[in-house]
Amino acid sequence: MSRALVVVVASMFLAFGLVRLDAQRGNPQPPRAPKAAAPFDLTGYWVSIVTQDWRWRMVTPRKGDYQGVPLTLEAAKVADTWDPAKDEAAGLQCKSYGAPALMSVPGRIHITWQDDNTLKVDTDAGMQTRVLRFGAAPKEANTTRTWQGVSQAEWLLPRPNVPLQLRPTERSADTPPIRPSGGTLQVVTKNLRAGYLRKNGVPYSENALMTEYWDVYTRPNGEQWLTITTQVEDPQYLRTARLVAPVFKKEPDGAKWDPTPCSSTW
Amino acid sequence: MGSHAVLFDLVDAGQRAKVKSQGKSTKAKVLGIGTRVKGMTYQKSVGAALIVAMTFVAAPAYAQIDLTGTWQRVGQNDNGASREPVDLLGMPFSADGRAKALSYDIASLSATERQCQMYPPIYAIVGPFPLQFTMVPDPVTQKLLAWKIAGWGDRDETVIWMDGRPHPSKNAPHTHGGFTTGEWEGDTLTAVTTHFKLGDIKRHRGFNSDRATMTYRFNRHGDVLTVTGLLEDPVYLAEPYALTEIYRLTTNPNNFPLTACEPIEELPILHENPALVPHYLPGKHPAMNEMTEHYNIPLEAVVGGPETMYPEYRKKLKDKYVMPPPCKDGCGRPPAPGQGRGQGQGQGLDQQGAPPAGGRGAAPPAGRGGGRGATPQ
Repeated sequence: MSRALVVVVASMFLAFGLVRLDAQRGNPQPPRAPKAAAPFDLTGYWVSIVTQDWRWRMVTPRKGDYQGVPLTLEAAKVADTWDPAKDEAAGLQCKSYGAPALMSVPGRIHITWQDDNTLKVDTDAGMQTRVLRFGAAPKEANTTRTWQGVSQAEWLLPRPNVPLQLRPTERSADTPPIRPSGGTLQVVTKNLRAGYLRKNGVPYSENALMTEYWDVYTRPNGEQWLTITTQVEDPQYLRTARLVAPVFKKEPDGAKWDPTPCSSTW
Repeated sequence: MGSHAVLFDLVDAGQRAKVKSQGKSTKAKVLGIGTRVKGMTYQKSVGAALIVAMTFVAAPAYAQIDLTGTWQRVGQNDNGASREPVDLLGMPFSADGRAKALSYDIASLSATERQCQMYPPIYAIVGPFPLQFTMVPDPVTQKLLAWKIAGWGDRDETVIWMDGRPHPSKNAPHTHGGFTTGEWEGDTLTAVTTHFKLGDIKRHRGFNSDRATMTYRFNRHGDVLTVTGLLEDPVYLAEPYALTEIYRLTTNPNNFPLTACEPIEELPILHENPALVPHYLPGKHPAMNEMTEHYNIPLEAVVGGPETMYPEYRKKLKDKYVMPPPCKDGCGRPPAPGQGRGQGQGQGLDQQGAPPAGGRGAAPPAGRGGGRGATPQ
């Protein structure tokens, strides 16, 4: 038998063996836990960078200022009745710290793994905690509505097969054409308690549905940045989806962590 | 990577290897590489074996996505929507950047030679128009050579070279669009632009120098495209200026304005005095206090700086800020039935509601000397 034939046969055996051996034995590889399967590391402290919508985020905007939010008329009527003192007295000072607004509130977030299937996101502004659960969605029937709602998380990994045409042509430099790393954390949140998209009473209803895409990128100098594309759908109070993308930068530690309770006025 | 892609890669690699190794090295002879086996070299047989083997093995992926199409700006933020001429809130300017911003009189844009100058690359994020992506294929292989983002009347086109070519020498000429290369990181397209000219980065309220670098991250999630931009500038910025914008894929061709710019006589005083360059001397900007008057925001925040974009800056504001009276005009209220789209919605805050202040194509602002079309001070 020629050497070429030996190589071909051996290679085929190896290929089939690698793929099918475990299945034949009835020992399929168990899926890795979300923590182990994470395509990037989200854990640590992140600070929000407020270069957009500054006068609606860094200070409490004036009543009736709804620019940029595709409100319904009904929502505007609700917002026109905003009374922060009344909210404070009613113990509703966290109404502008619900999940649909929280990542746009200036502050720091601390992300940790609560267990192999759960990411925990703490905020110093408003001292809130978001729990992002991977795996099967919990039953909602008896779940109490909360400011942070119920969040279902999923890793979206780069697609395995793409048309050849979309691949870059031969590159003249030595650098690899593609870094295969990457991915996105998708988070879908519902079962929310009605709250404010903006501190000046711009409302979302308890039927709001929020979908987020968390994308992390590392700059050549090692800095890590995070963009959270946030889509809020609320047929009651929004004419079209609310779409914003707050930006965060990773910090080396929690030295600037500054827990501050919710406030209706500041 | 799909098996066909692997096949093409191996064939290509084999051809390249053949071209590169016209002479066989001593080492190759020792290993038997190049010896002929029944009409087939050992090199080819190994290649064939690998092709067969890899056809059946799932391989790590190339991860490109298709960006082709027209992407309509969602514009629910204030990226390009300043009303007051001095609004540097959250912009991380250095002292030089702040001085440059505060010396600028928008009337200078009415000079004939400046009327049709284009905006810098960040205008793709802060401008009002959609992004129109097309793929530029290699003429031979049909693989991706570059992505092209079409230009507008006032923004140069952006060609994102994907073939690994280096950026030019720092002494190379600078253009309005600059020079851009890109690479995939997973499903994200990262593009870096250099060699662009000085230009204004937020409706004439701040500038980048010609030494700036713009990095884009394009993340597609279904029919939503998020663009994260990081502008770095050793001259006018103390820290990177980060902005995001979100776009939706659209099939409406009317969303893409292909207008050409034609210089006209806008301000007679500039035609009569070609040497006149409208500007403000330090501390003399007539609109310096407008943000404070309208929103009670302290002037020290209005003039920007890196500290103003961090959350802890709120502590400095807390005792100085008093909420202004309720908004009465240009507040983004939804439309009454049958009244159109309302204020501040859709393609950007200024595009849908009150007219933009001071931008190109905008009505000149009333009541101050600084707007285009107004008489310079």
